[in-house]
Parts: sequence; structure tokens; C-alpha cells
Amino acid sequence: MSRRQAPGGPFSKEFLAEAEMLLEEAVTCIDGLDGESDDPNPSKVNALFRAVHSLKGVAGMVGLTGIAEAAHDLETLLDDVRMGRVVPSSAAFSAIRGGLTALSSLVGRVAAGEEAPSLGERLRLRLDATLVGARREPVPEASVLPPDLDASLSDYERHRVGEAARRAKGLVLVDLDLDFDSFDTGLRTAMAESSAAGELIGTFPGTASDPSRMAFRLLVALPPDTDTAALGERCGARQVSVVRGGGRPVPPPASANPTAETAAEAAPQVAKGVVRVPLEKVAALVDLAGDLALTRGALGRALRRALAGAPDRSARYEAQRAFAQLDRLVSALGPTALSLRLVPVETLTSRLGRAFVRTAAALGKEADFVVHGVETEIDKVLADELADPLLHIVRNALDHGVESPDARLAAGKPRRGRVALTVAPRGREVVLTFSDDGRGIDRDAIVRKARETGLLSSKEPEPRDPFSLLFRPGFSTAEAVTEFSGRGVGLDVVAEALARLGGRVRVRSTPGSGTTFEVAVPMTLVLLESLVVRVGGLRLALPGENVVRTLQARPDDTELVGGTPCLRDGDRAVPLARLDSLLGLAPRAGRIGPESVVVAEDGERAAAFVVDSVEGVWDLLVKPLADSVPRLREISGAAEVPGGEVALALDPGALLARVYASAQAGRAA
Amino acid sequence: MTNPARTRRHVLVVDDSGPARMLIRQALDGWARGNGERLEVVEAENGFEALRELPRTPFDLVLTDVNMPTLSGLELIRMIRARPEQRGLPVVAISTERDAEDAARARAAGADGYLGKPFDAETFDRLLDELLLPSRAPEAS
Amino acid sequence: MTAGDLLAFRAGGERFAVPLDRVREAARPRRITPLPGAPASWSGVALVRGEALGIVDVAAAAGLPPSTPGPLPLVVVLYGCNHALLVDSIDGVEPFPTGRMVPPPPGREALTGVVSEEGGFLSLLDVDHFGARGEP
Repeated sequence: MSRRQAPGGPFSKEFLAEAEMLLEEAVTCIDGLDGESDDPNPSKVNALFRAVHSLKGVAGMVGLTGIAEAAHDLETLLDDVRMGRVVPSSAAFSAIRGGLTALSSLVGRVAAGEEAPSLGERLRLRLDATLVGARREPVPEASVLPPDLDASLSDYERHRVGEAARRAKGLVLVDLDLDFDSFDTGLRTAMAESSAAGELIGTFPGTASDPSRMAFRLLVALPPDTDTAALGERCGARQVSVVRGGGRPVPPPASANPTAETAAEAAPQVAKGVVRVPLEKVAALVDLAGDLALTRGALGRALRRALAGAPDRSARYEAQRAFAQLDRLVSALGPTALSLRLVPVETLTSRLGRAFVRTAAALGKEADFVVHGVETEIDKVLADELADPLLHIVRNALDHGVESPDARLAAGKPRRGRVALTVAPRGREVVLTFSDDGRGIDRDAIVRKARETGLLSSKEPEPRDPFSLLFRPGFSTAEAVTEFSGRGVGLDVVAEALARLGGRVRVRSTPGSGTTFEVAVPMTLVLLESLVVRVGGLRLALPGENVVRTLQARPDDTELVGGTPCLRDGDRAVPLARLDSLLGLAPRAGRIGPESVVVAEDGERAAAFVVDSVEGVWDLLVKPLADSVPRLREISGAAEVPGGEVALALDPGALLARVYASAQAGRAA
Repeated sequence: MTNPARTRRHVLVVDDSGPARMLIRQALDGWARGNGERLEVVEAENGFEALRELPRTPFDLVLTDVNMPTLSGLELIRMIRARPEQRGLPVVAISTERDAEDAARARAAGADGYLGKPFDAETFDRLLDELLLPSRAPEAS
Repeated sequence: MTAGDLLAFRAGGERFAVPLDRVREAARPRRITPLPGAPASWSGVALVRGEALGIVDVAAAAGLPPSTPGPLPLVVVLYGCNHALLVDSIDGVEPFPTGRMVPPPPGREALTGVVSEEGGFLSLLDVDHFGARGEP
């Protein structure tokens, strides 16, 4: 009776193509949401929800109930997240990831010819198990919207209105009155501008001035202090009405006579103190805060031991309370000290803007550079480090993205191109999104090129994100790349520079309509000044604060103290060890003459280490290596050094402990 | 609608999924054959296209997916309902069968009917009978 | 263990496979840096997407001669652990070969089982076998 298709019928090929596309979309969304707990980007959560919802739909339509069921369970969880019923924690995100993995393996089984694959158990059970305690009751908010609009809100829109109030965001209504012939462009522009400035909660019908025109009304949540008039202009709005101001109360209208009282109230804001502090002083404060945190840890351990058997209960209670207080204060101090290094990102974006104008003129391109979120704060050090890679992205967008005026007109686009940069904090990261309205990049062409150049072997599956190929070192040298976009040229350098800062970059693109580069970097950057040495063919990094000095030593500079070779360092003799033999590395052949020595200490002990050579001092972002990776415990992590090489990070404490242990063993022997 | 049996009827199908549009079209063909009706189906991939198509053709029915990017089905229904000349146009919201809540949401936005995916032929045919053949419906005779 | 799909690849001239749902991605880090003190079955450490990952030499772990990775080595990054697998090439996604699996030969604890197939063997790797457990 049913006209539904049987699995494996003529729809299975379409199903697979569709399912794979949806899964890829979902993975892109969740990747973008990574670490963005607490206040995840609603449009990404929605896109993710929609992708899984659509997957359920197409699976259900072709009768693949096992997949539809699993998608349904994941969709339910996503609905709970977007409706605020599940806390968007990292646990929730990893449960979502797990669900997506399960779905893609099911889809993979269809691809392999299985007729009706299903998971052994309901996915819901697995998801629920990881989300114990993550559920909450959303608190309803009193409505501030006009009644007719309020009545037509969907549950989700209502939830987002409440969420905007909870986060002290402003709410505005953007009214559009558009010509029928071009309404979709006008509506799309207004929607995009609203989303860039804040969150587009919903699109509603408006009242048209003339029945032949199309009227829309956009409900938008905005960060406090957004220039709503400017937004209205960018949207081509007939009118923008503020439903509720964000953050602090709406200022009185300009026509009102300021009384002495309001003037006095305003005064502190104007005179809001700004003190210029040299970066080194801030760095010293950050270091002190770090040391204090370490001392607090040691004090806590000592205190627990000392109090364990203390007979005076009230003294014990007092001590514990005082320590808890200290703990809180010290915990707050570190981030506060780090925040002193934060500066508005405008210092960086204005530099990009100047470069944009120059580059556009040099290339004969006509384009505007539009920046949103210039007030977002970013680490001063990071802002400096980011300038080069971001300049590269801006030039790239002009050079290879935005077409020449003639080509744009021929393609039915406005003569002037546009590159929009949106800067926004996201969890502990800052995200910089560059979107151009240029010619875009053809993903198939990228994959084809990667296969042709051997970057991707024919057997290797296409990566989830083909655009990631653009950042592979081999890709940039592929000559013919420029034929379709030129995007590859030098992008590996951008990726490398960002990786060194603990950041990453992703690309999205629609051929013909534009490309988006999304750069995410940590808001504060904790770079470790490190001394990099070469030993036995390896690069090793020692924290700069543990290095006393580097010197050249001859064999007769050493002396034996209690059977252990030592080096005189000022008025003390420190044990001397060859770093290569200490770490079990091959000794350098043919050593003659003076050798490079690094004297290091950890506060208690000091030792001198013979190395092959000293490479230099760099600020490195050290990535810890998990305990499960077997190795000498003197190696704590790895860091990229300029030039793309990797240095292994040494743990000075463990290194000194080994020197002293072997010295003792030597004496005992 | 003077001669419902012989008039060509126009149906707008809005769904961002190609296979979904194909299945809806197939279901529409089945209904048309069964009732000796002639249907002209126009497809739209998103809400913008749908808004553009709507004034061009005197549609007799709109079938729209609820979950679409940028402009959702519910937003589209709100727009349709706001235009006086389209107020009486029957609209069916199609969504993956979640629960009664989804159907209620669609009705609240102004949908006349609701179909959960996957739908079976009988449910689909019954809904179309109800919306397109008012003369045969008991309350209209 | 579920009998889901596998990602099959080659290392040391033999064919190996891991469950597809444990695979995060195939990546080509710039290079692998040797890790002092690691057993021979580990090739070293590599930075993948800014993360420091231990790299297991699949060939060496299976008792074959160890690999000598050049620049841009091919590694399979896994979910749920802090290491990736160094492989020579990837064969692709394959269905789980049911019913023909035999236990691995003694001394090859890194394998779950071995399936004989046309022209040789397919060894199933136990991805969780690697790690500090029982290592020095």
C-alpha cells in the first residue's frame, strides 16, 4: 500500500550523498562549538540540530529506521541543549560528538551494503548516561515584546528572548519594507547583518507600505552599546525600534535637559581611570600570581597534614576557613592579573583595515572592509603575534577572493566587494571571522588537486573538511592551485603561526558567493620563555626561569667532588652531566675543545648539563604530553619552535632529580 | 474552483532536501492518479524561493518542511498568513515526527495540516482530500 | 566490541585495521620527533592540530621491522586516546570480516585477532593496548 521506498532502493545513493553531507555539516558545527560551553552560538547549535533532524527525516523516508531512531535520540538531546533544558557543558558536547560518531558509523554500514543497520541499544541510553545532572529547568522571563509579536513567537524564539534578557542583551525590531523584485537580497543582507551584530532570533511578517512590496520584521538580540542606528542603516531598514536596551539602562533622550544630578552621575564614567602600565610590570604581576598559586598548593597540603591530628577543633576550623578564603582570592588573582594584558582588538583591526585599503588599491580591487566587535578584548601579546597571519588572510581575501569590478558586474554582483570581519569572544577563546563575498573555493577542486599532487593518496578517504587540505604544507607548493583560487599559497604558514599560538583556522566556502575564514585563538596567551638546545639530534626546551646561565667549558674546568664530576659555578660546585647520556641519546661523535653547558636550577638544586649546542631563547606554547604516552618522565610535552621544528619540553625538577640520583649512585659504587 | 475535477491545481513544495521533495512529489502524483486530478507542482528549496513563487502562481496548496536553514518553515507560514490574498491558502507543515508539540507549534504558526515524516500513503491522501476536495468533505456539502 | 566497520591500512607491508568509529581523522603532521625512553613500538611525538600526540609505529608494534618515517608522515588519529597510529598507506573503509578471525600469534598482544584473506592477512589492532600501562 505504501509508496515508501524499500531500503537499498533507488534512493540509497541519494540517501548516502545526503546523509554524508548532513553528517559533515554536523561535525563542522560541533567542531565550531568546541570549548564554547555556557553560551554556545545559537545559530551553530541550531544548524547542528537541523542537520541531525534532516538526517532523521531522510533516513525515515527511505525506511532506515535504525538510523532514524539514533538520529531521533541525538536530536532530542540537541533540542534540549538549544532550548536550555540541558546545560551546554563539555560533557554535553562530548555526548553529542559520541552520537555523531555512532550515526556516521551507521551510515558507513549502509554505504558498505548493509540493508538496515541499527545500534545494539538505543542511543538515548548512552547519551543519558553521560548527562546525569546536566538537566535543568529553564526559567521563563516576563515578555517585553508587543503582544501581537509575542503571540506568534515559537517556543524556541521565546527561549532565546529570555536568554537575551538573562545575558543583559538589548532587543530590537528591525523593520524592512522591500521591493518585490529584490526582496530576497534585501532580506538576506538584513539577516546577515543582524546575525553579525548579534543574534537574529526570528523573522516575522511586517506591514508593507504598498501591497506590491514585501515587509519583514527581524527580532534581534544585541550586545549592550551596539549602535542600533548604524545597524539599521546596514540592514536597509525602514525603522529600528529598541524593545529593551541592553546592560545598563537606556540613556535619557538628548533633548532632555541634563540636571546637575545626572551630570554628576555621568562624571565617573567620563573620568573612568585609565593607567598606562608597561607590559613588563604586568608580566611580573602575572608571574607573581602564578608563584602565589603554587605556594598556596604547598600550603594547603602542609596545612592538611598539620591539622589532621590537631586537638583544638575551633582552631582547626578557623585555619580551614582562612585557607578557603585565601584559596578563593588567589584563584581570582591569576585571571585578574592576566586581564591587565587585555586590550581592545581594535588596535589590531585598524592595522588590518589600513593594510586592506593599501592592498585593494595595489590590486585594482574595489572593496569595503567592515569590522564588527572591535571592543572585544584580546591579549596584547597575542594581538601582536596575530598581526602577521591575519594580514595574510586579509590580503588573500582581496587577492583571490574578491573579483575585479568588471568580473563582479558580469557575475551579477555589486561592483564593490566586501570583506567582513567579526570578532567575538567564545568561552575562553576569541574568534575572528573573515567573510568575503568573492568567488569562493570549489571543494571538489581542492580534493582533486590534493589527489593529483599526491598530498592525498587515491586510497585515503576524503577528509571530513576538505578545506583543511589548504593548510597542509604540501598544498601551498602545488603550482596549479592558483588556477582555481590560489588559496593554498602560503596558507600553511598561517596555520603554523596560529598553531604556535594555540589557535586554529577553518574555512567554509560557497563557490560563486564567498569564503569565510574562521580563526580561533585563546583569549590569553601563556607563552613560556624557553631555552632551546640540541642534543643527540633532538631539540629540547628548558623553561627560561630555570636556566641560570649558558657557558663554554673545557674538560679541565671540571673537578671531582666525592667522585662526581662537578663544574664550578660562582662559589659553588654543581654536578655536571652529559644530557645525551642522561636521556639515553646517541653521544655526538668527535667531541673536541670546549663544550656548550647549560646551568639549570629548580630552587633547591642546581646542575650543569653538557649539550651539543644552544639554539636560542624563544617564547613557546608548550603542549603537555599525556601520561599514557610512555617516555622518560623528564619529558613533559612538546612545542613548535619557529621554522616548524618540534622541541621536547624538559621538566627541570625531574631532570635535576635524575642527576642527583645518579650522582648518589656513583658515590655509593 | 468552479470545476474541481478538471481544473489543474497548483501545489508548492518547500523543502531543502532534494530527496524529500522527490518523495513528496511522488506522493502527490499518487493522490492525483487516484482522484483523477491534475496537479502542477512547483518546488522551492528554501523560504526565500517560496516567498518569490507565491505571488506568481495561484497556488491551491503549500507543503512546507518545518526545519530549513535561514528562514524556517514556521517563519514562512507566518509570512503566508500575513498576506491578505494568501490567508485562505491551505498550508501543510511537514516535519520529522517528534511529538504532538511539533504539530501544535505548526498549527500555532498558522498551518492547516501537519504531516510527520515518514508519512504513509493513506494519511497523506486523507489530508489532501480534506484540503483540496472540500466539495466531498461532509461539512461542505 | 561491536562488529562495526573498519578502517584498513598498511604498515610494514602488512594489512591492519581498527574500528572506524574510533578514527578521528587521518593527518599528516610535519614530522615525528623521537621520544627518549619510549619502547620501540613508539615512533615518537607529533603535533597534530596543536595537540601533542604520541605516535605508535604500527609495524614495530606488530613485530615487523620498525618504520622510518620521512617528512609529512601519515598518521591515523583516534578518539579516546592520546596517541595516533603511524601507517604507510590507507586502504579504506571495509566491513567487519565476521567469523573468520583467529587469535593473534603469541607475543603480539597489540592485536585483537587475525583474519586470513586472499593474498595474506588482515590484523585487527587493539587501539587501547598502547599506553603507559605496563611500560617502564
